[in-house]
Amino acid sequence: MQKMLTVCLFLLVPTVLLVTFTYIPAAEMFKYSLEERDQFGVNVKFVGLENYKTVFTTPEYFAAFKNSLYYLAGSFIQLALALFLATVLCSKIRFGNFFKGVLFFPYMINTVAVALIFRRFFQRGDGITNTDGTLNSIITLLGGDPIKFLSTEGLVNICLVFVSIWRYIGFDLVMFIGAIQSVSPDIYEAAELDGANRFQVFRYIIAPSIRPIILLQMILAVKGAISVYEIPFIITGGRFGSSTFVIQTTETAFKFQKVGLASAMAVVLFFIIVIVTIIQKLVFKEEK
Amino acid sequence: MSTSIKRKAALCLALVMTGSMLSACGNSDSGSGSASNSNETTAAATAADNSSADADTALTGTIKVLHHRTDRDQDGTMAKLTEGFNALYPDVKVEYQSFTNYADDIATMMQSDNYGDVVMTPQALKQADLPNFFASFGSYDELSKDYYWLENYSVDGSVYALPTGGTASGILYNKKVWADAGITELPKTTDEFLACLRQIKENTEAIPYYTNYNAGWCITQWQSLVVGASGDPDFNTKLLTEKTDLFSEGSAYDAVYGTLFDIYADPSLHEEDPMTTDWEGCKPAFAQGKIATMVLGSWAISQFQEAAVQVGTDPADVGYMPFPNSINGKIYSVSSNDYMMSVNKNSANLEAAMAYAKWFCTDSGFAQNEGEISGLKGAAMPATLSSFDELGVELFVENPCPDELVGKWDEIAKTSEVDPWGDASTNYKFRMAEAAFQGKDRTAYDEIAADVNAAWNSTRDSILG
Repeated sequence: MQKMLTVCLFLLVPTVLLVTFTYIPAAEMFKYSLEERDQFGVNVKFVGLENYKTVFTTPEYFAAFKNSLYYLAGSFIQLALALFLATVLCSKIRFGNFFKGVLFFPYMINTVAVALIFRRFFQRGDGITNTDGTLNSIITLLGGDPIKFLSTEGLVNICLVFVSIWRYIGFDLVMFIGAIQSVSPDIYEAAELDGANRFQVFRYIIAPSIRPIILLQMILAVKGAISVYEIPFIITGGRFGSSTFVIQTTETAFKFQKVGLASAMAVVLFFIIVIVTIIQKLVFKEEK
Repeated sequence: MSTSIKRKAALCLALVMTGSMLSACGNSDSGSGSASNSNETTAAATAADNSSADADTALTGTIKVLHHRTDRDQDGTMAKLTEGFNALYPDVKVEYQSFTNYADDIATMMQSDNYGDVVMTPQALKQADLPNFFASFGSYDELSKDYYWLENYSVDGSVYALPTGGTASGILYNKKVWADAGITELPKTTDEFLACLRQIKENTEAIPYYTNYNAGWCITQWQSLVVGASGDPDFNTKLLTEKTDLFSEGSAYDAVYGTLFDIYADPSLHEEDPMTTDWEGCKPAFAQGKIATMVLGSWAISQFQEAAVQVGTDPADVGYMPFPNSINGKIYSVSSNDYMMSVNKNSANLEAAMAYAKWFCTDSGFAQNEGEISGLKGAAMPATLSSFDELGVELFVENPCPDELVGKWDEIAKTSEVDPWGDASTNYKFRMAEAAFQGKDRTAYDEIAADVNAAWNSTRDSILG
């Protein structure tokens, strides 16, 4: 009885927080998606599925998902890179902990700060009001011509994906390192005795044992690619063809005052992510 | 005036809002009669007398004022204002709360009844919804004798907001750079304007036009030129009644955005990389003569003058001219309101809050100190706009639109997502700018213009029937 009470008390705080800040707003959002309403919530009109109809009949809204492909490609590069680095860092190398810290550090920096750093990094100066940023300075030093990274369509998305990889690789890395270290050292020792090389260790020991974590990271990567928001929003504001579905959703709500429609877009995004996750789960289950 | 870095940041944010704030003003075909540069001092004097005579020293209570000028909270301007107010109403305690992200924060707060006592009227609120939130200051017929810009803030003959000040539309330029380039006379047509920019490129080191494209709101400043370029106080109403296209050969929209396109399409006329510009950095650069020209509302003048003082150049070099679109040889500019002020209808100290708002908009001198146009009819024009007098510019206020069309312009703008005042990433202004930056020719401009017309016209027809 006493134990039950303790458990309940401990669960109370997170449950209350979760319900207050996640479930109630989510339920409200679902309700909003069936209404025509503005930011102030006056003159609310129930319109049924009208908003959903608009979302699905406006091709422009889905065109933004095209940019998600950049991020999706980027997130797989990020996963591969993180896996590689995690494997290296888990072997006996000097200053291993130092490098772990260095690689994890960007994940702890506020996204706004990251955005400001990289705006400066990619800057193309005019020599009158501002000078070239880090990247263009290096290019000039090597004898190349400076590039307008952020105001060239296409290139801007690649730059943003790069920022995104830099920012989030630390998280993947920590997850992989944790998983790799949970494998018993005895197995490694046995492999070493049997004369397995580094690649074989990775292929036959590390990869199979951290498979669930890799799958989880892949699901998160897809989810992240579909719902990219803050990095493009802060660095470019979605201009030069760098807009994403979430940027369009916020603009629909707060620039066009169509909160109902924007809520419907958010609900659609939610279901897209759920569906993608289910498909992914099914595909990988069959593989087994 | 000296400016700390912190304040500059706040100011920048305040300005972002000023930019979006300007958005609502042109929207709904507003204005009260014609405001010329001549001074009708009598009307202003009467208004001042009225409010002073109304002073009821017995008022008590604490009122909370919510506003967007974080910079003016920090530098003590607001606290000083309270002293002036307390001289009339000694027993009313005034508290201020300012928000860097005012427009969004106030919208969130207004979901409850608790949104201060006196507020800067949120621009996003629809006109018809004003009485749901705010108390009436009195009848439109009475108050419109004293104040400009009440049309967009009146419902059924009652006024729900008073103007804290207003701005004119036009172009900021560095007089010294323009003179150094050998320009002796300000341009009278858009072609002359482009020729001037080219002349600046040839004869000086300065960037002829600074787009400040990274700060998304900067491009919305071009929209404030449109009604002035039309020279017609009924321009926005006619868009609805005569169902004209926004973009057609020689229309006001075409004059303004065609010029924008031509400047942006010529890499020699603007900064190298529009995506890494910096709003705060452009002020000292302008003052030092590194930037020659920018399209900004007249609210910007005082800030650029402050920047000039800081970098040790002459603030008198900060010049302001109207958009050079002559109509029968005459140049026009439109003045429109800055944030308006309203009183929460749920306020516990409604009378004190009313007294404060009336005092703020009438006797506080806030608009004058900011270099803005006073909302009081007949008050003197700010010194920052002296060049308008010299050029014989006719500064007018938009006429009110007929009752049955109130709010329709906004509705069409938002529903069609054409949103002429907006800065969503899909907005036509950005599309035109980016087509120009990428070196596309006028056909790209024409395509975007045709898209705008199509979206606007079909939404207009479905809303107006």
